[in-house]
Amino acid sequence: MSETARQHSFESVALPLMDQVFTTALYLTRDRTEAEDLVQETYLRAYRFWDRFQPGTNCRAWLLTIAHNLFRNRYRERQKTRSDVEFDETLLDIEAQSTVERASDNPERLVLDQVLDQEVEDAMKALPVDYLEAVLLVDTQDLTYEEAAEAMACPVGTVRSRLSRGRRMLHSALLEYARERGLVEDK
Amino acid sequence: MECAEYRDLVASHADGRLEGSELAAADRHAEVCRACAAARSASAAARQILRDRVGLRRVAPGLRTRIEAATVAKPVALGRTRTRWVVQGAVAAAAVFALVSLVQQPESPLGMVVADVNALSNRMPSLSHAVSPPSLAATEVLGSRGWRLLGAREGTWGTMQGTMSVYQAADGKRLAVHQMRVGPGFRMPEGGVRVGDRVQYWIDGVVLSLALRGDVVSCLASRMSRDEFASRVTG
Repeated sequence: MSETARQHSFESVALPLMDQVFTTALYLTRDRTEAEDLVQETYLRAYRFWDRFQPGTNCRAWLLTIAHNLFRNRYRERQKTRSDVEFDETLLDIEAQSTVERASDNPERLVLDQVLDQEVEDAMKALPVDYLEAVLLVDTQDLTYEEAAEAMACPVGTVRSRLSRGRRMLHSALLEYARERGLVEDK
Repeated sequence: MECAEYRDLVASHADGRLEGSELAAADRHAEVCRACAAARSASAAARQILRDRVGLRRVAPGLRTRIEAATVAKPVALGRTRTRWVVQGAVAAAAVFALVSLVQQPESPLGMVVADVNALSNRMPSLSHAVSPPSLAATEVLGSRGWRLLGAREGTWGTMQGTMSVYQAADGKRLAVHQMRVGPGFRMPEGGVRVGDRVQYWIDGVVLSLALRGDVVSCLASRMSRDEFASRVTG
């Protein structure tokens, strides 16, 4: 591939995905400057290894794999104090029970419909990074479990469990916001 | 299948990503375990809200330019940036216009809203957030007391439609302000106690304090025991 063709290919396939990569980077790093650094580094690396990209495959997944690898290698240590929060299974059980008790009036619709975008963002920022990665890749970037597993460098089964726990934590956090405003009953 | 095993698969189950014996086992478990069935529902709801609410963040033009320069070495794409700003500006203007229209329209476009406090209570039995008229005054008053406007969204709550704004205090406490219009025939529901320009209702541990100003219903709500409510309104 000539340099011109390479540039043209990269410009038409990879560059349009910059906002998607930036969105994920912003949530991962929780800091705009770091997110911008991560995006820049991701694209520089992607361009350097562009010949390895298989045309016709999911370029977004490929870019996000690079971004997640860079994040893990360079940024995660800095985030460690914020990220390595063990999720309390007891809280999950309590939350599950309270959900059962409200299930008859469809609490998810009642509550989540009223949650603000800012609250969703806050809840996402509070997720441990392992769970956040799974939620970002599968639920917001629409990657398959297999693509997410590749990006996260872990087995598909790990993606499944992290996604499950991430969504449950997010749901719990959103319920808590709603509870603070009295939209659901205190337990 | 045990609950612990199911909980690790709940997202896959909600996403329809299980197959064969694993799917059969998960189906059987969710049929008999209400907690896990609820967890499945919660997982699906969380997925939906993520898809609906986590919007794309735009890369700053300067970063885009740097990356383009470092890779494809093309001139700055000012045209695209300008176009994007124009589009974003138009969207923002439309949003403002919609909000202003909702607030200033002399006749209620909805012909609804808080027709029956008891019905409202049934839908939201623990309602304890604030409903107030739409005004900059709310933001100014709350702002002077240290409340920060987090954001607002339009929506439908039960039979009510309008805009909900949420403010946050320095201590993290949040306050929701609903902005609801009422139809011309709106009357305060029976069974309330008049206190100043407001009519207050005690419903299942929640006091709703309604005021009608123009065609906007203002409602503040808080938790309160019946005895406390009685002592307040009689005292």
